[in-house]
Parts: sequence; C-alpha cells; structure tokens
Amino acid sequence: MDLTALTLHELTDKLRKKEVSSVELTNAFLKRISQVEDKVNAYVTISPDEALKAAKDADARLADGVNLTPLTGVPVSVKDIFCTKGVRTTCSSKILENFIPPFDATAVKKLKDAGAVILGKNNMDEFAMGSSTENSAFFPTKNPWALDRVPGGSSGGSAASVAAGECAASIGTDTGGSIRQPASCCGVVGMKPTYGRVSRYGMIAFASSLDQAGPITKDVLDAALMLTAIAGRDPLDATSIDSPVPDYAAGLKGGIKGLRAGIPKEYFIEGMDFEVSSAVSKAIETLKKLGAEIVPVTLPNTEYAVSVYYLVATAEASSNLARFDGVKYGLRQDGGNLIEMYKNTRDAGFGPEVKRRIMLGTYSLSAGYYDAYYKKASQVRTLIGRDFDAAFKKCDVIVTPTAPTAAFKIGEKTQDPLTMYLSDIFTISCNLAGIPGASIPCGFTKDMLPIGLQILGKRLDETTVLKTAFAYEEAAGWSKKRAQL
Amino acid sequence: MGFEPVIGLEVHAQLLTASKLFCGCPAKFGGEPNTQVCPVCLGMPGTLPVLNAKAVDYAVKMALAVGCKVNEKSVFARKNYFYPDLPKGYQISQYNEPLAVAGHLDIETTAGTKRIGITRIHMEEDAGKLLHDAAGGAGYSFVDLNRAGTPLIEIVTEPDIRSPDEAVAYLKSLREILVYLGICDGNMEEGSFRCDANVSVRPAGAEKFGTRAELKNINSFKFVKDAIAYEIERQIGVNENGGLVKQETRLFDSVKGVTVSMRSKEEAHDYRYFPEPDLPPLIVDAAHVEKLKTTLPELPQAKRERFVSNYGIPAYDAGVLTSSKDLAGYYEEAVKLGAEPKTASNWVMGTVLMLLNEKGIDVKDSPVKPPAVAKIIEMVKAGVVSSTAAKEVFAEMFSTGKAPEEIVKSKGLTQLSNETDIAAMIDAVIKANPDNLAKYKSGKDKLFGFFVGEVMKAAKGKANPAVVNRILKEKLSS
Amino acid sequence: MSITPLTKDDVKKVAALARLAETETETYAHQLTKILAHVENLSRVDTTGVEPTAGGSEGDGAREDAVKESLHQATALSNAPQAEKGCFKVPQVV
Repeated sequence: MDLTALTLHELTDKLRKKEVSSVELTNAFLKRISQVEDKVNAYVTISPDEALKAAKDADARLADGVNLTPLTGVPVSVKDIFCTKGVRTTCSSKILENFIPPFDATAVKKLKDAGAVILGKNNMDEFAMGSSTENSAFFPTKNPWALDRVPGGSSGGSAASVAAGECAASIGTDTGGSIRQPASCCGVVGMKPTYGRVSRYGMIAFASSLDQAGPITKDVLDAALMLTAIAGRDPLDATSIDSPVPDYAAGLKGGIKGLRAGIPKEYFIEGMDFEVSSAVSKAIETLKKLGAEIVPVTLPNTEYAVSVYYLVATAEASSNLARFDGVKYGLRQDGGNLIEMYKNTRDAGFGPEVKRRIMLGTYSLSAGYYDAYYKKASQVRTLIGRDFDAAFKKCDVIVTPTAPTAAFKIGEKTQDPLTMYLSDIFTISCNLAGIPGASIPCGFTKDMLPIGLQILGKRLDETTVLKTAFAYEEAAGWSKKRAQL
Repeated sequence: MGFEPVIGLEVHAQLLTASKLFCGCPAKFGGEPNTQVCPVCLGMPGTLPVLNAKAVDYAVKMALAVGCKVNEKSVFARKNYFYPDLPKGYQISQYNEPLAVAGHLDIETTAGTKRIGITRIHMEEDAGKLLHDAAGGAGYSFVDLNRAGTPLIEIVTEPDIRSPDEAVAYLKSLREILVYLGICDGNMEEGSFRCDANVSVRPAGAEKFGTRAELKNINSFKFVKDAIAYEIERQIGVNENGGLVKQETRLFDSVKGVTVSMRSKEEAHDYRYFPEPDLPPLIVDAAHVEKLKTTLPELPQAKRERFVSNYGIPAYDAGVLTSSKDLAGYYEEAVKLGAEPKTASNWVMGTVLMLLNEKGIDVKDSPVKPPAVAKIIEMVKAGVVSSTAAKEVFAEMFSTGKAPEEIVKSKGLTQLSNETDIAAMIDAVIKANPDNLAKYKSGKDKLFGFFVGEVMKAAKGKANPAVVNRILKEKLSS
Repeated sequence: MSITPLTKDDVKKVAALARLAETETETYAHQLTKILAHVENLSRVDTTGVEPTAGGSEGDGAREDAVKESLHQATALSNAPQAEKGCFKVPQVV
C-alpha cells in the first residue's frame, strides 16, 4: 500500500493503531520525494535530519499515548515563506537564499507543538507575488496533473507537494488567492481563513493587511484538522483575533439541508472558460440536491477588486520589502557607497515581478499620488466589504469558481503581468473583505486538469464553509482522485 | 528694518519603560552593541510589532500634563526611508492621527508669563545608532541596534517662540515636567531628551512667516540657545543682503558656534506615510484617561505656587526648591517636621545643595535625611549650637551619617547659654580689665567688641553670642 | 485622475526612492502605465464620505511592559553579510 497517497486523517488512524511508526512514515515520504521531486520541483529545501528527529520524538509521544493530536507523527510541508528556526527560509528569493532564521513562525511552532513532522520548505512565487510559481528565483514548480503546466501560485509548491504525495498536508499563505488558486490548479483542498484567525508572526510579509496562512490538503477533513492546529490568538501578532478556536473537524457533519448558498452574478461572466463554468454549475446542482437553497446575490463592486488589490498590496509590499537592504541578513552586493550597495543588493536580490510591484507600490504612495491611488483603493475596499455584508444577510455561504481557467501552460502568461493578475479575479475580494474562503475540487477538464469550486463564508464562520465543502466532497467524490506521476 | 524671529520646537523624549515600544527587549541605555535585540527590533522578515501598553500610559500622562486633548482613536503609520540604523526600512510613528493635540505650556519670561501652544504629541520608535569612528577602518560605519525600537514621544510646539531665551525656558520647563512625571530621565547627553528647532525670521509686524530652517544636533540647553541665536542672525543677514533664506536642515557645529547646511540629499524626502497595517488603531477610552489623570503628581508650576502661598518663601526659593520633585519633597518633609520654612529653605538651598553638588550625589541618595535637617534647625533655634558651628556639624553629618546631637556632643560644640555661667565669666573679664572699663565708661563705645572677644576667649568660643551681648551690655552700663 | 503615461524620468524617480537600480526604465514605464491604466477604473467609484479600510483593524493587542530575553550578539549577527566589533558593518554613511 502506498502510504503517501493517504490523507492526513487516514495516516493519523494508522499511527494510532501502530500500523506504522512516524519514522517509517517519514521515510516513506522522503522516498516518495526522492522519486518524484525531479519532475515536480515542489521543495526549495528538504530537511530529512530535522524531519527524522521530529518523527522519533513523535513516536515517543505516540508510545506514551499522552498529549496526542491528529497531527502527531504526520509528515507535512510548509511554504518557504514561514520562518523555521535553524532551517533556511528563502521566500524563493535570491535576497534570502542563505537566510537562517533564529526563530519559528507561530504557525510552524504550532505544527511542531502538535507533533507534526516537517519534511521541508515549499517553492513559491518570490515573496508570494505571482499566480504560477514561475516567479520563484530558483525554478518553477510543475503541476503533478500535467507537468507542462503551472501548479498555480503563489503557494504552488505546497499544492503540488500535496497533490504529488510528497507530504500528507501543507500550509501556504493567501494574499489574493495564493492558497485557493493553486489548490484549484492541483486538485486539492485549500483554505484561507478569516484575516487574523491564524497568526502572521514569522510569515514573511507580502501585504500585511491581506496575508493569511491556511492549510492545503487532500480532503476537507484534513483541512479542518490542520486549521484547528494552527489557528488562534497570538500575543506576537496584534492583528490576530482573540476568539476561541472551534474544533473544525467536529463541525463538518450534519449536512447542509436548508443552507442558503449565494450565487453572485458578477462571478459568472460571459466568455468564461466553458469547462470551468459547467463544472461549477454542476457543483451548484449538487449542493441543491443536498438540500441547499440557491440564492442569487450581488457583489456590485467586484469589477474593482483587482485594481484595489494591486494598489493596496503593492503599497504595503513596497514598505514590507524595504528591510531587505543588505545590512542585517540576506544578500549584499557591494557598491562604491551605501546607496550603491542598497541598489546593487536589491537589484540583484529581487526578481522582475517583485521589482515591478515595489515600483508600483512606491509610486502609489508617493507625494501627490497617495489620495488618488492608495487612499481611493482603501475606500473602494470598504465598499467591497460592504457588498459582502449585504450579501451575507441573504445567504450563509457564497459559491463561485476559484479561477477563471484550469492550470495554464508554463510560460503562457509570463510576458504580460496584467493577464497574470487577472487569474486572481475570483479570489481577491475575499482577502479584501477579510472573510474565509476555501477551494475544493469540483471536476476535471477533458484534458484531466482539475477545476476548483470556491466557497466563501462570513467572518469567523470557517465552520460553515468547511461543512458545505465536506457535504459536497462526500457527494461528489473528486477529492479521492490522485495525480499519476 | 527690524526682524522678528519665529521659532517652533520638536522634542523627542525617551520613555522610561522597562521594555521597548514593540518588543520585549530592554529599553535601557548602553550595553554591548547588539545585545538588546531580538528578531522584532532587528527587523527580521515575518516579525510583527506589539504595542507596549505602559508606553501609551506614559504618553497620555504627558499629554494631560500639558493640557492636550487625548484622541480616543489614534493611528500608527509607517514613515518610509532607507538608513542603516532603521532596520525595517520604515519607522513606526504616528502621522495624520496622533495620540494627542492642542495643549500648551506656560513659561516665565522677562516680560511675564507666556503661553506656548503645543500642536501635538505622538508616539514613535527610536532608530539604532551608527558609529563612524570605530576601529575597523575608514570607509565603513557600524550599526548597533540596541536603541532601535525604544519608545519615544515627539512633542511639537506651535511657532509661538520668539527668542532663544524663550526656547530654553520652554525646554527646561518641558523637561522638568517629563522628569516630574517619572516618564523620562531627561538626560540630554544620552539622548533621552532631544530637540530640533524650526527657525525663521520675518519683518517686524509682518503676518506671514519667513522660510524656515530646521536645526539639528542641539543636545544641550546652551547649544539650543547658541544655535538659535546664530541662526536668527544669519537669516537676518541673508535678508538684509537681499538674499532668500532656503528651506533646509542645518546642523549646529558647537565648536565653531555656527549652523551649517546639511549637504542636500540626492533626492527630496518622500516618506510615503501610510497606516501601519500590523497594528490596530490605538484606542484610549475616556475612562482610562480619567484614571491616568488621578495618577498625575503635582506639577512643578502648581508646586511653586503652593510653596510661595503656604510657606511664605520667596518665588526664587520656590523655583530652586521645585527644580526637582525629590528636592521639593526633601524640603517639604523638613518643614513638616517643624522647621521654619524660610530657615529650612536657606538650609536646603545653601548647605544641603552645596554638599550634594560637591559630592555629586542625588538628593534622594543624600546621607542626611530631612529629619536631621529639621533637627539641626531646631538645635540652632534652641541655642544648643551656634549657626556657625551648625554648618560644621552638618558637614560631619554628611560625611559620617551620624546624628547631629552625637556630633555636637563628641566635638564639644555645645553652645554655652547658661546665663549664670556667662555672667560669672563677664564679671571676671570686667574685673581683670579696669583700665578698659574706665575708658569704655568715658565714651569709648568701640571697646564693647574688646569685652565680647575676651568673654568668648574665656568661653572657648562656645558662649551663645546673643546672651553674651545682652548680659555684657547690662553689666557695662550698670 | 487621468493617466498620462509614465516617463522614463518618472520611473527613475520611483526607482531611486525604492533603492532599485535605474535600469530597464522603458520596460517599466510601459508596464506600469498599463497597470495604472487598468486601475483607472476606480475613478468611476463614488467614495464620498467612505472611510478607508486600513490594515490592522482586527485585534486589540497591546502587551504588558515586560522584558523578555534578547538574542545573543552572535545570533543577532549570524546572518549579517558583514559584521565587526559586535556591529553590522556597512559602507560609510556620510
């Protein structure tokens, strides 16, 4: 039996029943990585020594039978945006190629505390800026379903590692769709929780008011288990929410009879990919059959979301990335004087997309433009949030496609930044409003490329999002499909 | 044509919290380089600021002490610029929505009391330190981030100040309040109280302000006075020669006593302020402000007025005695123990301060405590010891910490006040000097001094002079 | 707001502010102009009296004034490209 094809909760069962040890499991995953990583390129750094040590500790914990969590002994991966104490953390950027943090991100610490085994760090778009993982400074990650296609991004390495069986589950980050869109591309489950639900401490910032960590998993129950492990108020993050963390796994069952599922007309636009729209329509039919009431809703400011996002996110990024200056850590390229050193370092250290966004953000914050760009965008952001408030008066969840197309070909969109930006068109509003959203598989194109269904929920109502996803998954069964490599 | 100077001041005061503004590193001065740092204040990727609640309380106290309106909601903002002492590439400060606005401070000038408006008080983090001359060679600077992230408040005045003396009076008064509140040590040398001055001149009677220069590097009261005075003269000179004052930042060269234009940066500053997304807006509700109000100590000005009215001491004395909260407390304790207020004031301002200054001791560490001061005053009043001897006794108390009675006794300084004994000595002196007695009686009044001297000699200097004078006068005129 | 295409000089100014090298200015000018033309649609939205959504609107999070352990100097400097005498070493600051 191939252990690496199993879900996290199936592995938890096996560990508890002592059918397998954490060390055996970790070795099985490390072996799988050695077999398929050449094709997939999901990892920037693999840390077998740390993983096996953690596995031994987990086995001791399992033997004692105390303080066990569903994650104890399970091998997972984390996006290389999370700082890991003593293990290099690159954000897939040359500027951090040799950076070894002296601390763990809170999400990583929570995984470790739960007893999870961290196999390594996943490739991503540099500083999470991108939708294809082609912006990694090191190498692109391939989609396990079609190696000539992108896995989505920016958490493409995380999604690909889950889809390729290179880990049981992963955590990524989502600023404008960076968990949901790659999950959709790779046929796995991805969830962006409510802003502030998971601590951002130690997660390298792209756009601070939008960034949020969340799980990427093989099925919905796994996502619930992972989220329960990493969520919660963190004294190190002043924007983390002080609200009890429910047992998300316990809230999955019970069905969705009577649930009101809102369908926003702005997300079903003419000219949309036919295979995507028909898969999503079928999924909506399934929800209806499961007892959900389908409600038309409207999110009138949707058309402005991409503009708002690119102004707000790049402005914050231009400031967040100022710390990479060749002084305290990371790359330095000397020059004749201090200013030259700064410029040489940042020019050599950042890739073109990162530089483009820093430029855009710097421009929109600069004297004379702030009101027209950053402030205006922040005001429209308020209106987008109000759209959701109004819609959620009529429904419990909102259902849309996750991405306008299935995974595109590597190199297809790299020439035109704006076209690439538009692949986030359905995922961005959720970040702007700070609400939770998940993507789950809802079918395949005729070329066997996965299609994702996005389910958005009310603030802090991850439970209803996951419950809807779970009911659909049980009925549709797409999550049982695995990519063949 | 006469010119009028217009001056506004920006003061940065470091708050006396135990930890930094946004992380748990110690906020104390000094330390080996880069030993009071953590991932947060090093600006490591992924780290986040968490606000120190005590720093907020301290800032609110200052706002209340100078009559500011404390905003219920204020917002932290990022001020973006690159500098090696600024680890994140931005400083977390407050911009559009500061903690407090619209206060004032009254200062004493030669023309009477003058009110200086305070525009705003906001909170921000300090930067690190750059060392330029450390061994390691020319062409390099060295960055110590121990200070990065220590809490500051910036206090900005209206352009209400009109002379270097007013500027100094304002700064002294402001510093005194900060120290009274116990929220800043006011140490200008270590940089916990720093000042920048905006200086411009305009033709007397004009409404419109002239172009201003910002003066930096003025880290003592004397430098503030000298720098502003120089800058006023310089700008007047520029105007009189038909030139235009440039808006620029100028550094004070304390050796030459001049201000020098900082080389113009390669580009104009554009700080690209925007709201700090890592911190929620700061909410200080009215109830909390009220609570902090009740914890405010009596402030220097109120204390001065009370000392004058309650103790009947001159305003000058009250000013000296209230120059620090500890000194005022010291004085007041002595008075409460029964010392006559003006006498106590003379003692504290004179002998006590002299000895403390000589030894470089802070008043709160004085080896002589207020009860001993009250005691010695009482002993002089009771005639137990002469006021001259009392000073000697006090010096001894200061160096040995012994009680005054003990010193008087062991040094044999007890004053002879017994009238019978003194009368007997006087009789003996008169008897031994019949010639001088006759001369005195014939009108040589000046010989009175001779008799006093002889009596004191007989008493080995310990006789109470008042008693000697009185009895001698009686005897000589009988 | 109406979009006038960004010039190479505009790009140079922004690059200097962002401490990026002033190269490929033409490409950047073209790409940034295109993006700015796209975000131009925001000018159609009436935002009179609308409060901006700033970041950090969640949470309440101040902390107690308590000292926590700092890093050792060697750890603090361990990622430094250049360090000397306990300090980060940088080209001279004028």
